[in-house]
This record gives sequence, structure tokens and C-alpha cells, in this order.
Amino acid sequence: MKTTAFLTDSTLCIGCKACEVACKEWNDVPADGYGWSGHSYDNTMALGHATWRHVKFVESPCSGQTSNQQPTTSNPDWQFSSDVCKHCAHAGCLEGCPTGAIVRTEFGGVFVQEDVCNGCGYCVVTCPFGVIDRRPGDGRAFKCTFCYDRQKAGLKPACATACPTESILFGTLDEMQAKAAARVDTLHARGVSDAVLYDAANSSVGGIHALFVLRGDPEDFNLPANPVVPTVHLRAGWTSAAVASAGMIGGVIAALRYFGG
Amino acid sequence: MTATYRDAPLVKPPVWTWEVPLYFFVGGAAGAAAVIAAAAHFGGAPFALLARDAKWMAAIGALISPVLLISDLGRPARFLNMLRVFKPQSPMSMGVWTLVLFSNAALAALLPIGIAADVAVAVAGVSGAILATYTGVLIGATAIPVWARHVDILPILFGASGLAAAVSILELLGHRTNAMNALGMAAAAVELLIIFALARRGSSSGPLMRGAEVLSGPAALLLRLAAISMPQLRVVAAVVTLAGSLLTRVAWIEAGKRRS
Amino acid sequence: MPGLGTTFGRGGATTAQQDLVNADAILIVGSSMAEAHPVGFRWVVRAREQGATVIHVDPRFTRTSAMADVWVPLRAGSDIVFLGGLINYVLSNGLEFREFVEAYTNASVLIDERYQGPEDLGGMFSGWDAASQSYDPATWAYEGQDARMSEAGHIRGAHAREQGDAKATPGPEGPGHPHRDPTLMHPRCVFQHLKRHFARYTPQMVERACGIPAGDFVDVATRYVSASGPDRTGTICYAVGLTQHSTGVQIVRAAAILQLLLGNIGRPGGGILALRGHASIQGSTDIPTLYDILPGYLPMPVLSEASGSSNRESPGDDSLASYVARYRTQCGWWAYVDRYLVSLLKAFYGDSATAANDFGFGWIPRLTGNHSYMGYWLEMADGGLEGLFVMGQNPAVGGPNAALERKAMGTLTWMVVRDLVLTETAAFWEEQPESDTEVFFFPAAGHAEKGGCFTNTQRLLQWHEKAVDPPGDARSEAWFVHALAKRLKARAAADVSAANAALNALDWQYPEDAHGEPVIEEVLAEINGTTLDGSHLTGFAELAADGSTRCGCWIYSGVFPSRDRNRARERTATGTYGHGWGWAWPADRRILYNRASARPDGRPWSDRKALVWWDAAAREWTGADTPDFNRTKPPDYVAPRDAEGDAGLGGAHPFVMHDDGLGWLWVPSGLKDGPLPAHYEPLESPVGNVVYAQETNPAARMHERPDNAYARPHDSNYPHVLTTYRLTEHHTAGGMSRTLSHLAELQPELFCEISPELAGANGIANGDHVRVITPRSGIRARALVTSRMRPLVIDGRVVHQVGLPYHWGTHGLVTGDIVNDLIPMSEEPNVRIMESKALVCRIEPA
Ligand SMILES: Nc1nc2c(c(=O)[nH]1)N[C@H]1C(S)=C(S)[C@@H](COP(=O)(O)OP(=O)(O)OC[C@H]3O[C@@H](n4cnc5c(=O)[nH]c(N)nc54)[C@H](O)[C@@H]3O)O[C@H]1N2
Ligand SMILES: Nc1nc2c(c(=O)[nH]1)N[C@H]1C(S)=C(S)[C@@H](COP(=O)(O)OP(=O)(O)OC[C@H]3O[C@@H](n4cnc5c(=O)[nH]c(N)nc54)[C@H](O)[C@@H]3O)O[C@H]1N2
Ligand code: SF4
Ligand code: SF4
Ligand code: SF4
Ligand code: SF4
Ligand code: SF4
Ligand SMILES: [Mo]
Repeated sequence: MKTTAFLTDSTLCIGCKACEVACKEWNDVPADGYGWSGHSYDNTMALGHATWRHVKFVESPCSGQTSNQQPTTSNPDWQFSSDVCKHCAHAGCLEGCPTGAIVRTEFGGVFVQEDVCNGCGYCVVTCPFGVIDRRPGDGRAFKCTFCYDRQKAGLKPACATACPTESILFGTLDEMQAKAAARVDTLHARGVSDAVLYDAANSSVGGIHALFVLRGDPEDFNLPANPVVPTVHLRAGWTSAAVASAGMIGGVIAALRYFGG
Repeated sequence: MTATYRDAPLVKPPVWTWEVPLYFFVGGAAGAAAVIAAAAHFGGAPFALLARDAKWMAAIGALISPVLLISDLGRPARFLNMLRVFKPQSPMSMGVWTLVLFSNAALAALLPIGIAADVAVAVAGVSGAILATYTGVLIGATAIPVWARHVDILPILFGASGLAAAVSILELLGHRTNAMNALGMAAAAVELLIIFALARRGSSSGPLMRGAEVLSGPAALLLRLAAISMPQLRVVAAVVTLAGSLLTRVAWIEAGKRRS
Repeated sequence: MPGLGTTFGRGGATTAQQDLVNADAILIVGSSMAEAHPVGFRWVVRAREQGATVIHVDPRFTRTSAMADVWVPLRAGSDIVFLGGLINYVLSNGLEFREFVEAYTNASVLIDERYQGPEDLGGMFSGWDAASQSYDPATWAYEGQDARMSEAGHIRGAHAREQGDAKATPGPEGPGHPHRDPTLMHPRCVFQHLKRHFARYTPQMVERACGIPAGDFVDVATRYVSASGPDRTGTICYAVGLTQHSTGVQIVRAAAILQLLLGNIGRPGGGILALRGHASIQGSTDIPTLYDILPGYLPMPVLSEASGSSNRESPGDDSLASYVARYRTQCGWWAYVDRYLVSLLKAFYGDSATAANDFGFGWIPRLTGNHSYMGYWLEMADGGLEGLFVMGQNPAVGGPNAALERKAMGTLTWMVVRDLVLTETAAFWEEQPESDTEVFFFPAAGHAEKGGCFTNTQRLLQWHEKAVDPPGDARSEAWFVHALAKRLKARAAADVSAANAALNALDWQYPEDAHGEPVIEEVLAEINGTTLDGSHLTGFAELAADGSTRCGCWIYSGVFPSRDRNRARERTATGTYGHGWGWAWPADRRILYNRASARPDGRPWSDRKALVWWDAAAREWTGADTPDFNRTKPPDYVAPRDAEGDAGLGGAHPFVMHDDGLGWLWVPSGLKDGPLPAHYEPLESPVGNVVYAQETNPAARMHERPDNAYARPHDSNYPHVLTTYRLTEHHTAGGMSRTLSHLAELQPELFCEISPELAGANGIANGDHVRVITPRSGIRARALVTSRMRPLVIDGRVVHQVGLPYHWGTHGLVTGDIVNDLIPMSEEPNVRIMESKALVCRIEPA
């Protein structure tokens, strides 16, 4: 099976949230609460156990560009970007999961087996993108399945299918990477100089299977400049634990030896 | 009006509830107790009483720890799924296997089974040391910035804290020996060094952490120093140490829940 | 949709959404298309990616603006000045597509010399009758012709016509041959009238009235207007941001005039895309839920004075012959109004309709007055109605002056509500415990729970299959109406009095399925039309006036051409326009008036913009779309003076519903507030009319009364402009979105959008609770403070705009105040729509 991927292009996104809703419909995801945020048009605010696609609204006055070519002098800038689990090449959640509930599928996606997860919550703290979360009440951890069921049946993920503007493209990873690079070039050629590709390729995450094209600083979109897969900390951690263990054992023996009973 | 996600939390806060810091504390104390038990066990007759009490401590900790761990799970009935896989890259998995090994060994160590008991004591001691320190790896090897930043220190800190707690409990049980006081002072000294190291790294800490640090480091050390000449302070020192040790775990888990 | 109907001949979008990819510029004005038509907006995005310029004209910076090249913020209610400014920009710079204008529009036609316009009369048109507060359009007529010759063009025209009508009296040269000056120089030709009329709509005037800096306006004008000529086209998209005004129809007219001048009609990438509302709202005007038209835009007959009408202005329609005489035109497709009506009557009354009894014409109810939406609600509020059926509507939230409407419901004896959910309408009595209206709530089957047909925004009929059985007692509308009809007929059969004659004559025989639902495809067959032996008609050309055909809606004829071919059900799309997927009325033409995509001689204007052209070898019109023209009529065909119907139109006359075959820059009849658009201030406005002395549309109705109060002009208590609109996340009155968690959570609370400047001046911070107050009511909302709202300088003074989405109510998963309590019940003169897009308010911290 070929590794599949998303390319979510915020320069084509109209912020309609059809992806967010389609995901919920297909996967029967429960409500995420009825709080009003006051943050632009975003009220679900983040990915989580009950929001697997999340449309972000980045609003700033007068930055000088719209999502198309011509810079304008005085327009507000309003970008929409649909976020999703990154299906990391080195996935912190998968690495950290003690039960093996999280697996890599034949499509290269990172998938939580709901019948295995025991809700230990470790994936919650090992995901460098703040994606997966434990659902109160249910107790298990949930996130985007990459529509594993649909992919198996030869269908596109529900979110990509619902997207009216082809802001969410789905295909093989190679294809998406090529399209993403070409898209950024096109945008640059049109004068959209702040268009960037976010792919986390040069980080310890080793690349992601959900690529993003957006304008400006990814950190404005809550995408970390340098995501770190927590497994990189293992060496330092275990070394420290070994030193500490040895120190403790040595110390205890020494103390008993020296001071006696 | 500007609305970006620059100030939004990047990672999800831990979902762990009170059982987890308590488990860190109990596991730490029990693990260190097992180390003491092993050293005492093989140290021979002079340490027989110490060995007996430390073994009991380890064993009781070995019973409580899994209960705490299980009760924190979202799906406690599925605890055994932890044993589906052995995953070196998952500190949680390693920790669970360590706990399994430790619990069995610590309980077996109580049984009159001759040479097998010796093996059990030894295994409990070694796995106990890991049990007391791996929790630092567990939270350090995560995406939570304040934990990950100190992944190289946390195991030592938790090890020292576990040892200090084990020592203090033994002291409260009557083992107010010089050896115990020395171990307590050593642990407090290590914690004091770590406090300095953390401060140098520019870690800002909340009141909880401050309290934990004061109790575990300077307060415990000073009390123990004073107790050399005023033995009646040993009990106070032990209680302060225990409080510090528990608070340390609580403070670190809470720190992970705060935005950093 | 008389704005389009009068200008072009048919009241529907002239183009298809897919065609937007062919546009070089897209002007979206009065719609947040990305939000309210997100799926159709994909074509805008695609066009933009191909290099088209996208311009969004909206008081707010919306999700649509974010995707546009240019956002033009303007004051709500000033669109005629903006569009008039564009028209003036074209005319004063000679930028019109001259050949197109000369050949295909009525630019060259001479107008009655008695005509006087706003230039002469301080903003009024000639013919004003102060007593009836309405215009007599006689002086707006073509020279030598009767103003009302084209009254039959109801497909293009007003819904309400209590006004007088006269027999068509063709001018000396026949209706297809008005007096023309091909040089467009005659001072009384339409083109010169247009120039004079729009001369004052200068960039400076646009700046003063709309708040768009003159320089910015010229920039936008240059960019849009360049999408014109043989090789370039532009499309205008609009929706209710243009229509829900006291001048709504004339705003659309202004857009239509602009497109005619630029040659952007009937051509690929051109046209006017009227974005419609509910799933089948186009269908519900084609086969109307309106009081004053019959299916296929046939005017509803009017009660005559002789039969007891107190309306002295209308002769009434006593006989089929007089009706036909009144509405028939000599030339064009309204010449066959008798065929359409008789076939409809045959569909209604079957064998009971015979030539001897006027095919049952007398059984059609007669109009006796204003039974429009506002009309009957006000009557109800005054206790004049006994009962009401509410089917698929939630007026307690969505209607103007919703508080008044809820109060009105309390005067009824009974009310039937059919809906998917328990709406605020069905539950209105909860806030009126004293009311003793008996409410019957019937659960309705949703669209997935029944089969049938939608007519979408581009006149496309699309069949949909039932996916699941409706739950419990829920039934379809068809079932309900069918069951009701059967019961009524059974009662009438038992009492054959004269009052029941129509019911007894009604031919009501539909086969039923296992659930007692009428077989819905049989209804479509009836709509399509059959001969008396039941074989299907293939199009409206086969209709006859002798009673040998039955047809439920002539414009839909052809959708079901044979028993085994329901074209609405077909799903094999081919080509840009998706022929083979569904069926568009009329006759599967996707781009209306597409004869205009070819030069008068029948060749395409350019290769790039070829659509339909004359194939000289095959001697027929051909191309990528079904020709909206007599397929075999050559481009050089000259209509004989006395020819009738289609034969009366020449080979270069693309607007085949018009008796002159031309696009109407000037509308001699069919509109109640003038032959040309003139800017009037909204009925409530914080500023005066800087264009004319006349402040507001004189023909609009305010229905001012204590429970429908208005702010005084420039009332300082209400200094801000208030506008209302939709969010992608919700649907209209909210019954279908506030009840679903997946939608409700996306916009859980009513908010109002205000600029940081307005917020600052009123001590309001983002997220605060505020009150928005109008003379009708006050409501609570959260403040969303955003620089997407921008204060404008209007005639030298800063004007703030407040935006309110109107989706909340008292029931559902998320609740909130009812915004429409703020809106007055007013009537635009032609379609009687309320002014919910521009009014005044004040805002204060709550
Ligand atoms: N998601 C969603 N889609 C819908 C609906 C829905 O409720 N939700 N409703 C459907 C229905 S019934 C309809 S009728 C259509 C309506 O579709 P639209 O007309 O696009 O919807 P609105 O949001 O009412 O108004 C559009 C825009 O008009 C702007 N506007 C207000 N006043 C003026 C003005 O004076 N001049 C100009 N130029 N612009 C003005 C508003 O700021 C708003 O952005 O949408 C349909 N589609
Ligand atoms: N202030 C302000 N007011 C407005 C507007 C505005 O822009 N501003 N827009 C106006 C416009 S354009 C419109 S269209 C109206 C809409 O106003 P309404 O038509 O009153 O509101 P809806 O919520 O669309 O009502 C439709 C109802 O039909 C139900 N329904 C859906 N499917 C079916 C079915 O198959 N059968 C039956 N029986 N019921 C069904 C739904 O549950 C819903 O309750 O609002 C108007 N009011
Ligand atoms: S983004 Fe997080 S949840 Fe998704 S694969 Fe990567 S680590 Fe796992
Ligand atoms: S919560 Fe479930 S998925 Fe996450 S790490 Fe634990 S067992 Fe694995
Ligand atoms: S791939 Fe499937 S599960 Fe993941 S966000 Fe899209 S719809 Fe949801
Ligand atoms: S469906 Fe597509 S256009 Fe709509 S919000 Fe999602 S990504 Fe954006
Ligand atoms: S709801 Fe239907 S009509 Fe409206 S945008 Fe979506 S697909 Fe189109
Ligand atoms: Mo609508």
C-alpha cells in the first residue's frame, strides 16, 4: 500500500467548516461543548477528543495581503486553515503508547485501536502537536483515524470529500509533497511572498502526512516551529535514570557499610 | 482585533489525576525501600530488622502502586492491555513492566523460600531503583515543555526524592540510625543541587514547586544536620521530608498542566 | 425576481455556477457567497486560480471578502449608487460593448415624450399618483406604444398587480418593431436617457453615499469594467444582500443594466447569478408558493369590479378570453399564454375543464387585495384570520418584526405546523399563555426521507431518491396535501353547492405507495405535461390551447419527456455545463439568452467566448449549450410586421420572452417604482439622500403602526446602520442547525459584529454582552469586536455599521434572542420583500 497524505491549503480555504462537520458525521464524534469563544469565528478552538478536524481563524487587521495575488493597502487579513492529526513519520503518540493501541496502518496513517486503548493518557502528553486527547466519560483516547475505514474501502477521507474548494487534497505522500512544493512556487510567483509549506520535514518528527500551505508564520496557526518527537529524550532520560539508580544503590550500600546498623 | 493561535496551548495538558503523583510517590518510596531492603538483606544480621521493615514497605508499595496506576486509567478494566506489548521506546511500557517485575519480586521477597528469596530481594532492589527513577523518564520524554526540558534531571530528582521518602518512613518506624540520617541528608543535598541547577536553567516555579523544593532541599537538610545533635528533630525531619517528597511529585505533574 | 425578469424576460439566474470558471471578473455584491453558497463558491475559487479578478462589495469583510482580490466596504443600503456609479463610469467613458448594446438591447428605442425622470422631478418619476401612492407607468412606455403591452411578462414582472391593465395595443410598427435610432443619438432614445439619468452617479457621489473613496471606486470600476467586449466577460453574483431592501428590485435592475451595457449576458463567463436560498426556492417561485402567480409565472386572475371588487383600477379577469387578451403579447413566447393556461387548467380540472366552461377558468380563486406575506400577517395581527398552515417555515424567528408575528399567531383559532423539529413557531404559545390558539404540530419527513425534485439556484431540476423511511408518524408534504385534498373532496362531494364547484371539479388522482404516499413521479409527469391519453410531452412547444394537452407548469415541460425518461434523475454530466446531469428549465438551457453569445450574423464574438453559434452548413444553431432560441431560425431572419409569437422575432433578437426580443435597459412596464433604478435611502437611515431630494422609495410601504414603529429620519437615538445576515454554520431561522450538535457547537451564541472604533466609543470590549436596540425592540448579544467591520465616512460624517446574524431563537441546543424582533415589516413595491439588510440601531453595554 502506498503511504497516503493530506495537503491542506489554507489559501483555498473558505472557512466553511464542512470538513469539521463531515468528520463528525462520518465518525459519529460527539459534541465538543457549546461555549462561545470570542476568537473570530472559531468556537471549537482546538483539535481534541471531540474535534478531529478543526478550522482555525487567524484574523489580523491590515496585514496587506488577501489570499490571492494583489496586495491591498488596507484590508484586514483573515485566513482559515483546517487542522488535523499530522500522522507523523515519527509519531510521539504511537511511540509512547504502552498498550500498542496506536498502530501504523498500511496507508502510513497513525491509528488508535479503540478496542485496545486503556486510557492511560500517555499519548496525550507525547503528541508534539496537541492532537490526541482522552475523552472524559469514555476514558479512551481519540483522534483522527485518517478515515481508515474509508481508505480501506477505496474512498477518500470524509473531510477531503466534503471540502468544496479542494482546500483539502488527498493522495499519495509523494504526490502531495510534489503538489505542495509546486503550490508554494505558484503562490510566490503570484506575489504571495509569505506563502510557506509546513511539513516538519527537518525536525525529529521526520515529516508529517498532513502537509499545510499557509501564509505567514506557522506559529500564528499553532504549528510549532520545531516539533520534537519525545523519543529523542529517551537517551538522556534513561541515562539519568541509570545514574540515579546506580547512585541510589551505591549510596545505600555505602551508608549501611559506613554507619552500620 | 487580532486573533491568532500564537498564545494558544501547543500541546494538550496531561489528563492524569491525583492518583498519578501519589503513585510516583508511593512507587518511589517503595522502590527505594526495596534498595534498602536488599542492601540490608545482604548486609547480614545487623540489618535484619531494617531488612524486614524495608521489605514490608516495598511489598506494601508493590500492592498500592498498581492500584493507583489502574485507577487512573480511563478504562481500568483494560489494564492488562499494558502487557500486550513490551515497548522499549515507551517509558510507560517500560515502567509498567518494571512495576510488574518489582511487585512480584517485592512480594516474593517476603516469602521464606530460601535462595529464591535472595534472588527476589535482589531483583526487587534493582527494579526498585528503576521504579523510583523511571517516572522522571516517563514525564521527561514527553512533549510537555517543562518536563522535556529537564528530562536529564528528573530521574535523579525523583530517585533522590524516593530515597528520602523511604528513609523517612523507616525513621518513623524507629530506624533512626545514622545511616538513615546520612541517606536523608545525601538525598536532600542532591535535591538542593538540583534546585540550583533548575534555577540556573531559568525554570520559573509556582508556589507549589517552591514549597516542595524548600521542604525537600534546604529544610530537610538543615533539620537533618540539626538532628545530629538534637535527635528529637529526626521525626520532624522525616515528616518534612515525606511532605516534600509527595509535594515534589504533585508540583511536577501540576507544572505540566500549566502552560509553559 | 422581477429585476431580472423585466430586464431579460425570465425571473431566474441567467447562468450556471459552473460557468463562473469562464469569467474574467466576478463581482459579488449583496451576497456572502462563500458563506451562504459554499459549494457553488468552488467555481469562484477556481476562476480566481485561473486569473479572474474577484471583487466583493459588502459592508462587512466576510469569508467571501477574504477570498477576493478586492473588498469594497460600503454602507448597507447604498448599492444603487455603487452600481449606478459603475453604469455612469461605463457610459461617460464610452466603455459599453457598443455592438452588443446596439444589436441586442433596447438602447436605441425611443421613449414616450411625456416621460420625466428623477433629474426633472427631484427624484420622482412621472406618473405619480399621490392619492393611491403609486405610479401610472403610461409615460414610461416606448414611443407610440401602450405602457402595459407587456403585462403578460409576469415571468419577468411584479407579483402584485392590483393596478390597472389595458389591452395590448402595438405601436404603429408592431411590438417587435418599436421606433429606434440605431445611432443612439436621439435625445429620447433609451441610451441617452440612461446617460442623463446616471450622470450624477459620479465617483464623488459614490464616495458621499456609499463611503467608498472615489479613488478606490475608480480602481474597482476599472477592474470590473475591463471584463467586457468580444474576448472578455464578467459575472455578477448577488443574493439577499441586494434584494432585502425597499429598493431591492431596482438594485438588481442596476446590476442587470450594467451587464447589458458590458455585453455580459448570454455569454460564457457572463450573466447574473442570482443565488437563491432554500434548496428549492427557485422551484417555489416556478411553481409558486406566492399569492399572485400561478405555475409558470402566469398571473393570478384578479376579481373584477363587476364581480364585486372594490378595486377600481383593475378591470379584473372575468373570462378566459379577457385574461388572455390582457396578458398575451403579439410577439415572443408570451404570445402563447393561452396554451400555457389552458393546459394548466386541464391539469387542475381534467375532464371537467372544457371549452364550453372556459376550461374551468372561473374556478380559479380571484385576487381581492394584498395577500402578500406582510399583508396577511398584519391582517392576522388585527384578528382578521381564523387559521394558518405553516409548512416548512419558522416565522416566529425568520419573519420580519417577528414579535408582531408571534403576537399575531395568538389571535388565530387554529394553526397547523408541519416541521422536522418543534420550532419557535409551533411553540409560540409558551410566551403567550393567554392565547387560545389551538396548535396542531405534525412531524414532517425530511428531504432524505422522501423522494422528489429540487430546482436549484441555476434552474436545474435534480431528482433525489428517498434514503430512509421517515421516523414514526412523520410524513412528506405530498402525503399531507394529498390526504387533505382527499378529505376536502370527500366533504365537497357530499355538498355539491356552488362554493364547492372548484373542489368537486378538481382532478385529484394520484397512485399511492405502500405508505399511502402519492407516487411523486406521477406528479412530475403531470407537471411535465401529457396529452389526454397520457403520453408525455417533450416540451412546451407541444402545448395546445384547445384542451388537448395538460401541463402543470409550462416552463418545466420537457423534464419528463417519456414514461421511461425522467431527465431530472439523469446523472451523466458532460461538458462545462454538465448537460446530462439533471435538467434545467427551459428546455435544458444552461445559459439563458445564449443567442447573444454570437454576433448578430451568427458567428461567435470570439473563439475564446464561443458558446452557441449558427452553423450555416447545417442551417441550425449549435454549440456547447442548448440554444435558447429557435434552433432553425437563421440569424438574418427578418420578422414580418404582422407575424406573431416566435415568428414575430427576428433572427438577432435573443431575448425571446420579450415581445421585442431585446434586453431591456429601460423597463417600460412591469415595475412599480420606475423604468430605471434611482437611489433612495432605506426606510430607516441615519443619513439623508445625497442623490435626490426624494428621501425614500415613494412606492414602498412602511405599514407604520405602534407595533411596527420606525425611527424618525436621522434620529440621533439610532445613529448606526444595522444589517443582518447568515453564518455558514447555521441555517436561516435555525430549526435545522440549532437542533444539531455538530452545527450548534460551531456558533453557539448570538453575537454582533462591531468595529474596534465603535466598541471603543461605547465602552465595549470583545466578548461583552451588549444590547442592540431599534424602535421595535432590543435584543442581547455578545460583542465580537473586529476590524472586519469598518466605520465609513458618509457625506463627511463617520457612520458605524453593526452586523447581526439572525439564526437564534428560544428552542434547540443553543438559544438566543430573536434578531427579527428588531426588523420592521415593510414592503418593497414590486415583490413586497422586507428591508432587513439596512436599518438603524443603537448599541449599549448590557
Ligand atoms: N449556511 C447557510 N447558507 C445559506 C442560508 C443559511 O441560512 N445558511 N440561507 C439560504 C438562503 S434562504 C438565502 S436567501 C441565501 C442568502 O445568501 P446571502 O445573500 O449571501 O446571505 P446573507 O448572509 O443574508 O447576506 C449576504 C451579505 O450581504 C451583506 N449585506 C448586507 N447589507 C448589504 C447591502 O446593503 N449591500 C450589500 N452589497 N451587501 C449587504 C451582508 O453583510 C452579507 O455578507 O443563502 C442560502 N444559503
Ligand atoms: N433579519 C433577516 N431576516 C431574514 C433574512 C435575513 O437575511 N435577515 N432572510 C430571509 C430569508 S431569505 C428567508 S428564506 C427566511 C427563512 O425563514 P424561514 O423559512 O422561516 O426559516 P427556516 O429556518 O428556513 O424554516 C424552514 C423550516 O422548515 C423545516 N423543514 C425542513 N425541511 C422540511 C420538510 O421537508 N418539510 C417540512 N414541513 N419542514 C421542513 C425546518 O426544520 C425549518 O424549521 O428568513 C428571512 N428572514
Ligand atoms: S500529530 Fe500527534 S496524534 Fe497525530 S500522529 Fe503525530 S503524534 Fe500522533
Ligand atoms: S491512552 Fe490509549 S492510545 Fe493513548 S497511550 Fe494510552 S493506551 Fe495508548
Ligand atoms: S481523515 Fe477522517 S477522521 Fe481524520 S479528520 Fe478527516 S474525516 Fe476526520
Ligand atoms: S471544508 Fe475545505 S474550505 Fe471548508 S473549512 Fe474545511 S478545508 Fe476549508
Ligand atoms: S447546502 Fe446544498 S445548496 Fe447549500 S451550499 Fe451546500 S450543497 Fe449547496
Ligand atoms: Mo432565502
